[in-house]
Amino acid sequence: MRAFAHHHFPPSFLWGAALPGTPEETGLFNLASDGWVSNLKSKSGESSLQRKFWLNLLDQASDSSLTSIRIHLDWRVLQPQQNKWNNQAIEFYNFLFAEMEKRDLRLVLTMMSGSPPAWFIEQGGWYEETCIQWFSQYTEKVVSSFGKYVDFWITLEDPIQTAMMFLGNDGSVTGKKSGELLLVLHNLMKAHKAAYKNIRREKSDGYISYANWYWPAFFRRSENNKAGLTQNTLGKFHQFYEKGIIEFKQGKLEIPDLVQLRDYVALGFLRMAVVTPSGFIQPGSQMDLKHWDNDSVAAMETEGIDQLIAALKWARQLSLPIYITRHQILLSDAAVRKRIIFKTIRTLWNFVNESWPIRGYFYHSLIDGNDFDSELINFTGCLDMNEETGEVVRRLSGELYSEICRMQGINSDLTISFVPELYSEYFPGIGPRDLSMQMPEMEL
Amino acid sequence: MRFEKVPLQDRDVFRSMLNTGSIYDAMASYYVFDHSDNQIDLYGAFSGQTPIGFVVQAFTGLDLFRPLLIPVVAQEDVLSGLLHTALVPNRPVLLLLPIEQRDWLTNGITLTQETKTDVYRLDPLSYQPVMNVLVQAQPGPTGLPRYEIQHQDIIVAAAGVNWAGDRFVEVYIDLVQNPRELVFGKSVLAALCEDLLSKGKIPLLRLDEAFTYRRIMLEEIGFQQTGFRLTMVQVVLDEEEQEA
Repeated sequence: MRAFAHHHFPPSFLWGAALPGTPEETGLFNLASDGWVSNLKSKSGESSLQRKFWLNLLDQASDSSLTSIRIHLDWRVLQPQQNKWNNQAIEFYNFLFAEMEKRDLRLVLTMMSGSPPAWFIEQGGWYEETCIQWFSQYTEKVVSSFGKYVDFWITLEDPIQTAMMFLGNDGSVTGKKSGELLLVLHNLMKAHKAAYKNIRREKSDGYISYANWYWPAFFRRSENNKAGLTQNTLGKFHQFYEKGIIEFKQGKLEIPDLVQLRDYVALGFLRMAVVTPSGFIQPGSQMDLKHWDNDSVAAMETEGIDQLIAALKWARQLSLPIYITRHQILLSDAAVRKRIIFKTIRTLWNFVNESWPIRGYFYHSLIDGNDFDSELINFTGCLDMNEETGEVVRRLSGELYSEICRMQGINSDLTISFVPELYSEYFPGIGPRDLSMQMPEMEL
Repeated sequence: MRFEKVPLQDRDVFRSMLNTGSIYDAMASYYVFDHSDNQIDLYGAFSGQTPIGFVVQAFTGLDLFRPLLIPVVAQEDVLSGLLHTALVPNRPVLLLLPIEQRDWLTNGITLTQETKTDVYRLDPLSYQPVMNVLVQAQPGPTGLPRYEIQHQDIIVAAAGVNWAGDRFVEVYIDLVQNPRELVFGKSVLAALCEDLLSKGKIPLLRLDEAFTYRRIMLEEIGFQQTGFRLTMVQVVLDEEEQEA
């Protein structure tokens, strides 16, 4: 007879997924200046059909037992010109957020993701101190427009990634070099500080943070080399996030009250497997992910859990509630994806069970999309979407995640149904004791 | 598969089945390894030489006449075999079982007085102290912390410890029903929690479904529902079943 065990998460644990909110994330359902530009529109020509599509997505999220949705706003769409707001887009987002509320889906709102507006870049963007004023003005508008719907705020996606993409890779600021990262990072954090104050001035409730990405990549440099792990980008910046101080060759950056300017850790955990004969290329540049490599994929699966544990250990140092606001698997192999989702949730359960303050998990993403202004980096959603008709069907990995959300945990029956190859490893298995060995003592 | 009473000097065979850092195993770990030896009996299930489950039967302050029976099993037939080995006909025990395993209790036993409980855990990051000058520290006879509020020589609220493991401590609240029940309860419980946190312990509390109105009080202190639910039920082995 099979062994049975059930691993519960607290009822208050947030189970979420991301919806695309920026043009980079999906080529199909973009909000643009008129509010309704998309391939679908060209076929249907009716904005009511667009709304129907989005409502269908929210219904799918609700039917999948999700309790929360994270969505990115696109600054370029909302403020296409310095003194002009896109009222159609604001109206659309209000419609979307109200519909989420009707379905008891809690909203995690990322205020800015991707590139800033062209007018902002033309004025120097994050390189010039005026950026703080512009971003503050933008966030004031966001808070006044959508504040009543928001439970969790993410002011910026990972500031380091944002700075690196701004400076080095997308060519948006001519003549600026990565050595100026310090200045840009400083401005970004001041912009976050301004946004934090704007939100707090309007809303005493709600939780505010900026995102941190822990981004291990598993690759091999050549046919003869074994797949290995690159250094994640968060590692060397951890002191900055913990203490508000970081030292570079070029100088020291110090924002002492930075540590107090967040209410939770919004942790992005992004896995990728890639072959690059020329070595790892920074995010945002042209990464060629067409040539998937079996060794790299295997490394991503096996070493990925160790990296997740490392990310959680990093986050725990901040003594704040932790939400995995983005778990992204840059891989389309369905079997591997299912195993990764299962192992990730099982690992999170271990930590929750050990009283670590992990409060939520967001799968990336609800539907397919791509990232970083490039169609080369694709992520696979819980739902498979027909690009012609907009119809969606839940993928097997989406079915698994839906079941996990429904039962608020995992059990042996679910394991048999979806990932039978992992059953003997986890049920009854050696349990979390192996992980306990790696866990630092709780500091109360 | 065989079932047998296990001498206490051999109890270490079950250590590998337990994770003392887990709320699921904390209570069983305490009763197997830390409770008074003269108050426990241990019964194991083995496949060959490998332990595959056990129950610990313990006399506790919870009920002076009925021992507490705590199984650690993952299979229905293992639970059944262990109960039939450990139980004496017509002698009631209090069984504490994960709610998912409730349906495994079927043949040859009579079940009565069932209650369901939600396990809450104090989140150290969310803990909110409560200042109340009426709260007095009154350590229990074994030295474990206990806090109470008296009114006209009557104890109207008390919070103490059921058992204390390496990491987790199960606490209780005992309240006299009155209009200020929740205020007093919150005060004594918060004081107890502060004491335990200062000692590096994390309080757990089992909230009986009859007292769900206390949930908000618990959450205000910083307790969070874990999702782990237990059923406590009086179990009596039928006489014919033992003979069979």
